[in-house]
Amino acid sequence: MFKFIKSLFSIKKESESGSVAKKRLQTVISRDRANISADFLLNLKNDLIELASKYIESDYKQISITIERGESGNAFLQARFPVISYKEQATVLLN
Amino acid sequence: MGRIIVVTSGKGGVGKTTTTANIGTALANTGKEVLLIDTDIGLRNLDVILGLENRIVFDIVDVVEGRCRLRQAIIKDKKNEKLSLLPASQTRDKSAVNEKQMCSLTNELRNMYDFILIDCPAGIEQGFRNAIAGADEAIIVCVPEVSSVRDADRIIGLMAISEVAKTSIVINRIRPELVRRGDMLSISDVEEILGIRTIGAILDDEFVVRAANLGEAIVNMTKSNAGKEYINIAKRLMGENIPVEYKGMRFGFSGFMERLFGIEIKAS
Repeated sequence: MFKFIKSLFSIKKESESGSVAKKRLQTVISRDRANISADFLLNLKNDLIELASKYIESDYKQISITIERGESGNAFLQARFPVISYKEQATVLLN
Repeated sequence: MGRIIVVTSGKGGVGKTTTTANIGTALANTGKEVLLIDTDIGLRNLDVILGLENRIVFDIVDVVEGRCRLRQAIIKDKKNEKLSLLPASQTRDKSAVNEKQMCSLTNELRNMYDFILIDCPAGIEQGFRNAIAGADEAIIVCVPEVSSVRDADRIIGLMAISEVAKTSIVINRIRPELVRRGDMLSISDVEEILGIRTIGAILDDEFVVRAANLGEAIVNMTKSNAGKEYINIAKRLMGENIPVEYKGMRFGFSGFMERLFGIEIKAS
């Protein structure tokens, strides 16, 4: 669980701690505001992985799921899945 | 009709009391009638920051429980007679006053002063609810650290669901050299995260410690950067348009020299 939370925060490695603080705050505050628990995010992540795995091969250690606030103040769910390859079913659709 | 402004933060130790004392003093120095109310019952400190600890006879709980008249509990500042303090009780706890009592108290006082500043206790329990009950506006104090900014956001949320209409933030204890190096959140970072207006940005300043030791206002120390910014905050509260920035950031090296220099110079 701890590893997962940590992975949420370290989307990109920054050398300056100020920008790390900013990123972490944006994540934690949007979660505070939406009143979301770490369990909520974990379930969401698992479901998204299940869905994505039907279509793509991904590096599951590199996946990040975050909820961030945009300029308008609204929250955005952002999921990043590195694509290693497309699954057969999907390549048919792509072609 | 006076404006009732609560100074709050969520997190403790970020400078609420110092901010209340100094914005209040700065406003009073411009000729406004100002009352400071300490609602930190059981842990009062506004009196000692202002150097008025020896003048207290009655306190806010005495007023609420009818042991004295309001005017008997309010004490005047040593230097500026436009500035007054209604002290908290030291021997009771937060439950000694409720929200309804606070509202009727501030409503009674509203017509007697131009500004009423309420120093709020840390936390979000009864003391916090009392402090915000009668307020029209809020100044949220935070330092550029993750725990403080997070708590400030929580307070902003609580303000939004209460009746407090205007909320702004004071960013305290900024260290320009850390911001420059990228190791501290900047004013714009904090603004972006919290999404509210900054009404003041105060540099970490040794005069703050000195002023507290002496029981004097930082705004009366002419060499203090923090003092100057508290005066600016008072002006902004009165509607003046002064941009929020700090010298140490704008002019890197000279700001640094000024800080060094400022440390050398004794307060007036």
